Amino acid sequence: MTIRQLINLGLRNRRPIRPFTSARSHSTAVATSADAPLPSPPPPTAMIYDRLALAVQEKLKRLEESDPRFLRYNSPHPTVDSHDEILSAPLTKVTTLPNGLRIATESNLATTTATVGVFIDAGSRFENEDSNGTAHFLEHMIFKGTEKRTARQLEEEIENMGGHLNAYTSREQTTYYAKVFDKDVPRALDILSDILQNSKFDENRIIRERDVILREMEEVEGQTEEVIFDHLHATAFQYTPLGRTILGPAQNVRRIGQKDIQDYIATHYTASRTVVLVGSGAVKHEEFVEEVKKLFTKLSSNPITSSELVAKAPSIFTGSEVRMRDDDIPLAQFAVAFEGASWTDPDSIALMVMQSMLGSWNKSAGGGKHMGSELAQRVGINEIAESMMAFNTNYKDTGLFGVYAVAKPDCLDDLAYAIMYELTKLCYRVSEADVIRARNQLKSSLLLHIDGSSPVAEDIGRQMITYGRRIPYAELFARIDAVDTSTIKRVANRFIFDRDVAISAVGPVQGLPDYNWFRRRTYWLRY
Amino acid sequence: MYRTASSRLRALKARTGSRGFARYASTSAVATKSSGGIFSWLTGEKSSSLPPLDFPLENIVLPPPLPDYVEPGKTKITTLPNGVRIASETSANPAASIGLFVDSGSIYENPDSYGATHLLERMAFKSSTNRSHLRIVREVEAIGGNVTASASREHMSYTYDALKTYVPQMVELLVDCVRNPAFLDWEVSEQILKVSAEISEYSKNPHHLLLEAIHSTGYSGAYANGLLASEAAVNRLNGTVLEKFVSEHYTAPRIVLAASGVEHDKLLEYAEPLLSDLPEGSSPAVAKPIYTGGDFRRKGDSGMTHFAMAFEFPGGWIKEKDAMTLTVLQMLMGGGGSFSAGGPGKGMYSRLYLRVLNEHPQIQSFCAFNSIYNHTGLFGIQASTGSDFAPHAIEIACRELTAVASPGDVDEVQLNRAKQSTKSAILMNLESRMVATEDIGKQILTYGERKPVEHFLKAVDQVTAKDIATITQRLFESPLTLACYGDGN
Repeated sequence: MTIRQLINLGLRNRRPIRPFTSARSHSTAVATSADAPLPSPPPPTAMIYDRLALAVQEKLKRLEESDPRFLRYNSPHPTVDSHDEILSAPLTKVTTLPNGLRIATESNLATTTATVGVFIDAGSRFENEDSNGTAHFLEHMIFKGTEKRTARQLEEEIENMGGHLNAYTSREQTTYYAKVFDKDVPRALDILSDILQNSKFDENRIIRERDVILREMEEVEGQTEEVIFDHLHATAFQYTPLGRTILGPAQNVRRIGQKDIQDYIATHYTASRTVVLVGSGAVKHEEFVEEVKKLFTKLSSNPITSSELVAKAPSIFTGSEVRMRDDDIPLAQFAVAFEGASWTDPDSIALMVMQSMLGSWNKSAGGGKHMGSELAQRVGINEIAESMMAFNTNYKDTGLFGVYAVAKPDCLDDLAYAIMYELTKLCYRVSEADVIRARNQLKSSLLLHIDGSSPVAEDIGRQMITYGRRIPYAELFARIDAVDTSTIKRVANRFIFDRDVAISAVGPVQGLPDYNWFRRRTYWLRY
Repeated sequence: MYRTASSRLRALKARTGSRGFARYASTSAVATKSSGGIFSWLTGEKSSSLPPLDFPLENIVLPPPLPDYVEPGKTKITTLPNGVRIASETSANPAASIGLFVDSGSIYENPDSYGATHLLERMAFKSSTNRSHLRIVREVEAIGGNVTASASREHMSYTYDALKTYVPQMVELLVDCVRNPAFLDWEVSEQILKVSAEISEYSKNPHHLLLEAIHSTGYSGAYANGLLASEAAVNRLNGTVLEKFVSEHYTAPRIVLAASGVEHDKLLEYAEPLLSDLPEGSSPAVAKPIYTGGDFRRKGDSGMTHFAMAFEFPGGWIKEKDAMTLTVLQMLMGGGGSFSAGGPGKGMYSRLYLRVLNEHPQIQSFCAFNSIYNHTGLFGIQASTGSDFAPHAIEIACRELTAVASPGDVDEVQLNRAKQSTKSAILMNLESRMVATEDIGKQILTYGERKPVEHFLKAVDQVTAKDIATITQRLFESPLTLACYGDGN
């Protein structure tokens, strides 16, 4: 760059010098507005670095005169704004059938596509030691043929109508959903009802699928983030249902058979307690309800509710840690978590705001060292991590709140200090600007995420299962706005101050401080 | 007494900034109970008074619900006197997505500015002449938005996604960052380091490497410019080069401001004063794509061979009908990885799955790809296999391509399946406002207007088996480009 500038300077100097000042000023005016970015030539006696300094100064001068046109609306200081005008949404209509099946729809008839889903209040936490893995096995087997359709017919039927059929299982929830054209909604419902009620679970198919699941387990073991969170659950909820993994141990996968799967369906896929049907996009509620009434007739009517099951086998948080030291991989990863709030706890909203205050950061993020979160600033400025993310997971009777980070082995102690300092600081010192910013970010991220019919269906399904209703945006925003600095401090005192932590770490973690160090940093003695 | 003093202090604090009132105004909408007990007074805490989340909050005024049918917004386009086009459509969604699209990209680079596009992508939303980087980051965070920039061979796009309440802020920041970048030396050199790291990372990824290689070997001239330039080229870049590139290419007629979820009048009101004085500039000669075909080989020692073979599709997006036929052809051939997870609907019944992946377990992935540009395009097959099977895999790829070219080989069932998948892919993507914004922006840059989606769906419906055969035969008229990476070539 230097060389090019010098060459350019040389060229410029060779031009005949105009004798008239007026002509000269004209030429500089052009120079500032158009292409030539070089400053007026420094005296020939100037050294190279003087010339460079001048060039930089000239550049900086442009920054001093800002154009007020571009500075009218934005402010770096977060403010509380009213969103009343934009919060109207299509009504979520809910119908409960006599057998307890709940049907919820949100219509947007202007589109020609729709998502139809079945959300079931069942997952790996409702299994026991021996049946752990059944829920996930079932998710695999459910596409493998029914009495009416073979696996191949089912797949071809979906593909021929240009649709997608998908499923996922989590600790507390199982979802099957189809994305289809509006005219195919009845057929999608038919397929969903068929696979849920009439699946055959052929023994040969089960044997074949076992290998697929075992291979999937190997794949998951390669994804360190999944491993960290599985271990975190295993240690934090040890000897209780949430501690078990979703995939289940390999010996269970090898053992699970047709009968286990059928039993699981009979106990958990019941109309009265667990099935919620969601339609979003181009669906009409009344027609949808009629279709569902006709099709979903064979669901089990086991009267046990999931809250009874939870009460029978609650998940209990235990302060503990698990470390898997492996010096052969380059980066260490760890997660520190406190016990969090359950889905319906009113303080879970404050925890969401706290999560957004802690924020997340990674090396390639555009915000760099300038982000509002002080944890992100510490991490970015001191370069002590590759990435960092605060998390807040809710379950029916408990939750996990903490920070997950990936770092080089020699930064682990500094990183652990930064994380614990910022977490515990929430009990003592919270600035109003930070809270308002976090609230604004939380509100935006909740709404920005809902983009398209599948996220809408997912949102309805999750809320119907966890809250039993869909919370209107206006109420959600009011609840978020009710969180102020004192709420944050109170909630931090409840969940963080002098509480046990659960830690899970994988990789070259010899530099990670011991458990007592972490536990000691959940309170301050001097502040 | 203490209490009154402290509350007075708090009131004073609230008044120090003019924003104080606004802050308190909205929080008071929710009944927050007065503090209880001496302890909570000491720590400044209040006890929770809200009901659990499964019970509705009282005193909430719910806005009237939207009707089930909201008339879909038409795309309105306004051209400013200097040539900037501003387009928008309304939506029922509470969020808006605004994008600035520029008809600039790696095809406009010359030997002095190789890599500028990639670096500009990384320099997006850094300091402008009116705002520092810190200020930009904080302004985006203050409203909780998301900003992204992406570069391709023919387009630059800068998008801002946030709640509809913040449209003025979004427009202002977006236009300022694109129009008035400062290119501070330290920011540029920091990003050059990151770009170099990214390039060396991508060159290890066979998929990216082959896609780049197909372009750099298949074309000569502008389209051969790598989206990822060589590290040496990137290290030569500096703020002056970027400034020159931006002033040449970011001119008024080549810029489109597109928005999804914004009233057109409102968008104009905020955008027009910021964009109407953008210089028109002189439009550069549009680079003609020159396709030559060629052969690219690089040794790798992974025990695997990755290859991509491609032919030119002359015409590009400008020939919409052919472009849609090509898209259907790609869906028809499909393919993918041999252990693909997930349920039905992912193209498991496409030709390459049925005829290749299910038959030959040695092949790890085998799929058809296309990259279509305004005036040209590429279509071909990309595959990864164990090295000893590579010659055989190439044979299979040729066999599959010739098969679709022979009339009568593609049956109606397969074709209809591919057509349905293409249509559903288009419609399901357009559900998202981000995709809709990008679609508005890029269509206006390519066609000068936004064609309704029905137009493209109709084109898909009209594709016949004969069209598929004809277009494949036309592909074969161009010379072959072959790129290989791995062992044993």
